[in-house]
Amino acid sequence: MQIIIMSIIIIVNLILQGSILPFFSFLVFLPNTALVSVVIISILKGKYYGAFFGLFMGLFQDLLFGEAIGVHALIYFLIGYAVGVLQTSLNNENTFIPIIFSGISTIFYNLMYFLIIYFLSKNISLDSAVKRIFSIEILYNSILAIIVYRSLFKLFRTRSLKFGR
Amino acid sequence: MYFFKKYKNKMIVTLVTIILIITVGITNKRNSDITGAENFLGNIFSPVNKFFYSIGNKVSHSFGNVGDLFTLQEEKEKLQTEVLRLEDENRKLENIISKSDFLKAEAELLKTTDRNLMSAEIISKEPGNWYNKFTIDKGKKDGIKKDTIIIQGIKLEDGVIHEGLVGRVTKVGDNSSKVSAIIDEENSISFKVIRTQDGGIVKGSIDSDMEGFLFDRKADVIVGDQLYTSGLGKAYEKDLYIGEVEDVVQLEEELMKKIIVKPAIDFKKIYKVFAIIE
Repeated sequence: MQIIIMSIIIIVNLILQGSILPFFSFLVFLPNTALVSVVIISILKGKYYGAFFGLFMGLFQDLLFGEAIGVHALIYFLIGYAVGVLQTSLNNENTFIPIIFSGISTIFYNLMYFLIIYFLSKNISLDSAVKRIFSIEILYNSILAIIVYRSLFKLFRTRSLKFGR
Repeated sequence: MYFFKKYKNKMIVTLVTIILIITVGITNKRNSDITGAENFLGNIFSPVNKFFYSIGNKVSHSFGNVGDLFTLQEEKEKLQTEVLRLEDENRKLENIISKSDFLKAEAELLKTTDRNLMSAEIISKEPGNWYNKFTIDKGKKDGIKKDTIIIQGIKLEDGVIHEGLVGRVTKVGDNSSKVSAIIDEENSISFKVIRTQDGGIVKGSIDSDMEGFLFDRKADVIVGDQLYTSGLGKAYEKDLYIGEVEDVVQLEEELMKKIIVKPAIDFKKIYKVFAIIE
């Protein structure tokens, strides 16, 4: 059941990112809904689901829109795993956790993306790369994280026994 | 076996990472053709994306701003009175719209051009903030190749229709192909100033306008000069309209003249384009 919901989330994200979000381009920088859902799934479901959800989300995005296959898959996979590992030691019912995680992930995502395209010898100046890495996108994604977290919380909450809360 | 059990997670992560890095390397080199898997997904998703893109286009035309959504309740009454006024205006405007603007430019372009043009619709744009790429609904079956030039009809102040440069095809599939826009940072275009025939090179930049320089430092270029492609390097065809010079900056230490160019095409509202078929 949860696998089906995750597949639906991937499809919705692909449609949202490819066809609907570009019309909000008056915002200059667009929020990244795919990244936010990877972070949230990873917080709620742990590192296995987080990592492989990220992997598939990234693969589909690369196949549909990207130039080289695996760029987004690699970044989302690592983010999903890393957030999943960190999440186990934190209280996952606090709303600040997704906000902080998606903020940091956004910086990490753009930094990784810059490094990958730099090593693929696409020419991009350091100046504009820095502008993109520390852009208003961080704020957009953090706000978006609250909304996504609230709506997915009930669907994915794991009823495991936890100590020291 | 203890070793494998202990480091199972880390090994899986490392293995997947290595595989992905290899795929990135391989797929980046072979740049001209869309692979089987990409083609399969593209064929499934392109009608879906086309549908949502056209809806999005309509919504964004009628709303323009998401901010409107939050003040809908207040604006409802104001709008109802305005509807009546607009309906009247609409009848008058419909008469004008049917003749003018985009459709007229499109028709005029088809009439005046000596190139072989094919109309194409944009079905999706690449997500993310790094590149300006979009997908069109024509592919190999319609005769599109790698480096096919994409243009759009634009009307200048003097009322003449020109062929405005939009971008160039970077990847081709059966029914869709990916286009890289000229405001993309990875594209460089050789241009000439139409008034003086001075040449130079422009490049896309982050602020969705273009930056460039002139080969000759003493060249005479002023704000408002119109730029056309020069055809040097054969990447772009000759005599396609690029845009207008918005600003000229003299860089003393770099021994060249920097110019800021405003592209003629509004890339935020792009919807229908033409491909030049040889």
